[in-house]
Amino acid sequence: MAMARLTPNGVAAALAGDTNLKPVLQIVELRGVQVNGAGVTRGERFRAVVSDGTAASSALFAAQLSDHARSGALRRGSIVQLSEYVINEVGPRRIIVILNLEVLVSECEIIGNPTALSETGSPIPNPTRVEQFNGAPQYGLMAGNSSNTTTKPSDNVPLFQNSMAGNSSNFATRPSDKVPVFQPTVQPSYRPAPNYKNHGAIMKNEAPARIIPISALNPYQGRWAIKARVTAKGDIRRYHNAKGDGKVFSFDLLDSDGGEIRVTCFNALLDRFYEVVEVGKVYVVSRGNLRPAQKNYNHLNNEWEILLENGSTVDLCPDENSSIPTQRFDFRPINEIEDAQNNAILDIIGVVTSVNPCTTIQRKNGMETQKRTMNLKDMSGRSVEVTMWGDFCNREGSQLQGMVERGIFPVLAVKAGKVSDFSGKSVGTISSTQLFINPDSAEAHSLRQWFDSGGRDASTQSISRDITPGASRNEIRKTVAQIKDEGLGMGDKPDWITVKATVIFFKNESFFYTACPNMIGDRQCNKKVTKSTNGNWTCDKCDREFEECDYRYLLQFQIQDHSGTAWVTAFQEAGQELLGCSATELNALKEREDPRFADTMLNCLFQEYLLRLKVKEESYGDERKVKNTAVKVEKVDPSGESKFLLDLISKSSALH
Amino acid sequence: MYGVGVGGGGGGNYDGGGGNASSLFGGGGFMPSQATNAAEGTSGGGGGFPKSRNAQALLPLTVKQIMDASQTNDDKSNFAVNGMEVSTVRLVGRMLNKLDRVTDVSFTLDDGTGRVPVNRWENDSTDTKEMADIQNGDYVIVNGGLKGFQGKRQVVAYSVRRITNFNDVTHHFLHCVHVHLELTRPKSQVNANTATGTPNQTMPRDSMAYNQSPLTNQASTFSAPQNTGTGTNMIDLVLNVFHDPAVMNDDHGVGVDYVSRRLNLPEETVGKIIIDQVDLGHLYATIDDHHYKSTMNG
Repeated sequence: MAMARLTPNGVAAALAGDTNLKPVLQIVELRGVQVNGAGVTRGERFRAVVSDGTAASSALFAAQLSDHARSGALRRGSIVQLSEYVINEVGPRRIIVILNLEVLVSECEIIGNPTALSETGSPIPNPTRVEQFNGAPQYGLMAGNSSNTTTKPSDNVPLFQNSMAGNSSNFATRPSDKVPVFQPTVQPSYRPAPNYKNHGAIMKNEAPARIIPISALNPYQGRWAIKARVTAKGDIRRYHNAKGDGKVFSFDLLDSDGGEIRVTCFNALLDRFYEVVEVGKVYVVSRGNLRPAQKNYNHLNNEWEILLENGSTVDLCPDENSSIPTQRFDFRPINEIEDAQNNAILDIIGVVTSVNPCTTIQRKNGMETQKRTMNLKDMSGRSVEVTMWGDFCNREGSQLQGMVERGIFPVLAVKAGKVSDFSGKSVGTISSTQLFINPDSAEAHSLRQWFDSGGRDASTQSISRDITPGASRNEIRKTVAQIKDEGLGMGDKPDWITVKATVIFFKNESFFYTACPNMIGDRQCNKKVTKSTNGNWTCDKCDREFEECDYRYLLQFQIQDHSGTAWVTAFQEAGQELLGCSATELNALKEREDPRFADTMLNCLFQEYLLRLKVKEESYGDERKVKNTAVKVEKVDPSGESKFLLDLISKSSALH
Repeated sequence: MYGVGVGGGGGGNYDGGGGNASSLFGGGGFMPSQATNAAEGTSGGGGGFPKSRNAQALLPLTVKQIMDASQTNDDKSNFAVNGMEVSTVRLVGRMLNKLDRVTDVSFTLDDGTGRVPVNRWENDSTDTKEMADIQNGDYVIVNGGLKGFQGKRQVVAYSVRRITNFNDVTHHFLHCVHVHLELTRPKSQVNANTATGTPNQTMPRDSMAYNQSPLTNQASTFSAPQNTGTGTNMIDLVLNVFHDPAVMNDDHGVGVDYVSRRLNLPEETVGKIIIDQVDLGHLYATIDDHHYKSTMNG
């Protein structure tokens, strides 16, 4: 005798709808089956025949149990206890869908007479068996209709592909101790129509819907129900296609096990359910049609979504707030977004430090939409720019802006934001994004505590493009005095710094040199040319003469800030940025003694600039001097610079 | 582009007495005849500023900072702010009382913290055009040299530009705050920041390190007044009341009782200090023997 005893009549009781029995059964047949959905193979599922020693039934393993079967933990001869299962009704046939089980014995001899089952196929029961099922005499008569056995693989494919098969030729086998010999009994079973109808009605009454986890949902179940909270509810969207005009809306569900699934309603069903569904409330949803999730719009962690139909129900469940969570997040620290792929969908949480005004953007298709950006920072030492599009701008965006302007820096959770790598990394909203201001979660409370106890002033590096021009991530801001005091430019490589200073003096008598105009490939020679006796210009490098030369800036000027004064040299590009015209033009003005020559230079005196300097020590004969060369010059933007100064002032104040 | 249809222009120096010319060169500026022998790394401007003992600097300041500036020597022609000798200053405020003359334009600049007279000498047509474009009530940015003459402070402008982007006003005041914090930061922290800031290449940090010599000189200059102890502090308190913009703008001045109430000091003490300051020439009586004003820009 086996160590575990099979549950007598376990198979019959399970098929009758007793889902709390937890029967001990033996697997007498186990086979892998390819499951196809929407033309794509979705992996291997396992089908079995289970026996209680007397009767046997077909069974299907839920997706989560496939690994057991594949690894050999489950095999022919295993004795298992079904701890969780539902009954799938496929037309007149019934299948046990096993959700969870415990392997009691990994392998042993087949108990009872299941051997005859696989060899003899479907025997005709004798009259005494009919008496045993006195509660359902038609059930026994149905056996006579079977013309195939479940052991034929080719007959199984329609079972999974078309759940509406009304006259499936497959049927669960019934093992028998004796071969029946009473021929007259067979004849009455050849009247299928009235028996089938009675059979259906009886089975429905005997099998009310059972609540199952969302993660266990699959298209092959008959009657199911889920109990879950609505976490999001979309707007009504109208569409037009070949079938005419229509409307659709969706809502997302989250159950106590953390399973999520989207539910979609079209047209008449939208009218019926749109007003019933409210975010945050718990409902029992039953009898929808499962189809593969449309990942373009549905980013929930589920491969299926529910399409409600006429027979579906959505019933409110009051007093169900404790076991089902309000929302489910998979937060990533902001520093991990730097490595995220473009267009990745993820959840983030951070403190809002600034919100920019709403702007109207014209899209390529001519339609206008609204855009608003804000900055989040978290404990990872990074901040990220979050872009809100469309309705988010006025709904959450306005609320956030008001809070930040009042000095309240709210915690914001972004669910299903989309990563963009345009100008650094940023996160944008999409239609399925959700924003939660000051959510009631452990992560939010941790952030609040961190921010209020020092995080507010913590230095964070933005992973998005720099909003404040003067505070570019790649720039090192120095004062004029620091160039000398810190010995900049003395190393092997030049030092690159940015200085905010005022131009106070130009050497105006010589601000250019004569350059070779020759083009070598796509670059100009630019070497200095000298005038020869015949009036032409000679380039030693090109070994050629030219009638005309080019003029290029070699501008020497002094800059001054609150710490000191320094000389700077600017060549062509920086010179043009500074003076606003080319060296050729400026020299022409000078030679004509045009008053605009002086005006051009005077316009730049006592103006404040951000100068990007290359600082390098160079030798002039026996003397070594540090030389400052301007590679980029731009006018100070007072708005951006003010933000930069405010940041510096808050840091300085902390030191005092 | 600065101004519509106006060429604009920067500051210009003027030829004057030898002393004035020498001191004005210290502020730099556009000089077409500038000598070409100025070496790199040294200050421009001909012979330079004879009395200067540190690098030339351009300080963004408020008028109040100018009025509070201490004098660095006995001839009262030089000033120090935050321990830094002031040569060129930048101010932002409204132009008032504009007065055009053939040789110059004078006006009062009011930035909300006080008022200071500004003088702009006109050397060429660009200067004239620049000043003609600006009217009373306009906000302007002034770059110029801070001068003291007979106890009054004024700015000789090298450049006066009308403000068209009013973010410039906010930026200027923030810049004053920032530079003030930089220049008043304790020296030990300056060194610490210099040490820690340099390796951290990604974080923009300003750490102010300046010459030690001027500090020493400033300290020695200040040591003498410190001998008077609390008296000096109270004198400064009394004088600060007279430097308040509201008091400065009142032609009648204020009396001993006003100063006493404001500082919560005994009238007898305040009265004695005021009499002493009148003898020193810092204050003078106005409508009667009981109302006084500061001689500074009075």
